[in-house]
Amino acid sequence: MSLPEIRRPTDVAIVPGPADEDGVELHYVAPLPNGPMVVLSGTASIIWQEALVGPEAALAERVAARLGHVVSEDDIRDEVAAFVDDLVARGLLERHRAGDAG
Amino acid sequence: MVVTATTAGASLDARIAIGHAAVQHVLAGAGIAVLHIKGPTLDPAIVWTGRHSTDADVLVRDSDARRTVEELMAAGWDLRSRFENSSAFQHSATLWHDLWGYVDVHRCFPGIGIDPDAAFERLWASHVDSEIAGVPCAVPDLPGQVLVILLHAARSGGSPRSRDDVRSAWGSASPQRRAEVLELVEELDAEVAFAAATGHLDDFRDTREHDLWAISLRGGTRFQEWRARVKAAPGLAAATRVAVRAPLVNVDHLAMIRGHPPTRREVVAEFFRRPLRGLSQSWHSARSRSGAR
Repeated sequence: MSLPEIRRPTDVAIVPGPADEDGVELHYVAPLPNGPMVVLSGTASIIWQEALVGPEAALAERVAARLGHVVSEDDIRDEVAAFVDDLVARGLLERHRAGDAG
Repeated sequence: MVVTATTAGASLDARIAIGHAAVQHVLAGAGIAVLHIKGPTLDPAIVWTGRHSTDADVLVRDSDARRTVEELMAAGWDLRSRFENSSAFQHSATLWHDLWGYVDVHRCFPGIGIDPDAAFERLWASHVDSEIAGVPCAVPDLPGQVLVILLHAARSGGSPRSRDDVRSAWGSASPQRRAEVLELVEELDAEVAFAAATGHLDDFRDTREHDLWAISLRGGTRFQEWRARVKAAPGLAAATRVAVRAPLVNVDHLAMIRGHPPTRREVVAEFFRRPLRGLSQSWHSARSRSGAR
């Protein structure tokens, strides 16, 4: 498996919260030291989790799998990419190349 | 996704955990070593199910204490109570963050008898690398965690929570863990406070600290506390300082009660009210002992 291309910055805190009725954990995420705090639930939480465990190029595929393939990766690719862009813009995720420090 | 500038809906546990991480972030940036204690830092093996905290607690070197408070205030925390006004032991400062709540910055830990910086170095030497809210944080090792819980319980007036803490951390501890904790107690000169926590305070009746820990454990009047603090002070100079300072008004506490910085008139009124309350408490205590109604 190739190295992840997306990671949580070292100045971002994360705390898991309770799981919803589908078993998806909620996440509280906050840039340090002063927030604001972001609450990720449902599909947002799934995208967050999957973004951190594999290459970004295959992220839509992993999310579609987590959703039980009720939608195809092609159906959600643009929305997933836009959501990751939003998280990066908020400083909650960062893109890095393999070999970068940290 | 919900983005919020408040923490409405977030559990207190989550906010406190992020509070620890935020403090770590600030102090690491300032080059200040910090040990995270109590609350979410505790190993699950020594806490009872359902135990929750209401604030974040950290321990720093006494020599770093003022700078720690300055760095946190510069980063967005509000100072609510200074070290001098925190307790009879003057051991901690309390700060408030609008999102993460309270943090108590300890510069020493009541019950530890050796120099505070030396105590920090001893706990730091055996610290464990942990993670709170996804941020690397240093916490005391298991014996250190047990000792911190016990010393805190000794100051908690025998509350049900403190009894549960003592039972979980010490009552069910293995002989090996107890031996490790006892070794640490001796290294840190914490025998009297440890005895207070574990029900053996009377074994130390002849020590200067006995009365103060008896009051911490069982309660007492203000006069009794003043006398105990003077007696516990290590040397004439320290005892004199305590005796002179004792009747002074805790301005920080008064501000918290009134919800605003107290006016000069309110401080003066409180100055005269405190000795009267102390006298009243002693009188009622004496009447109670004599059986008068």
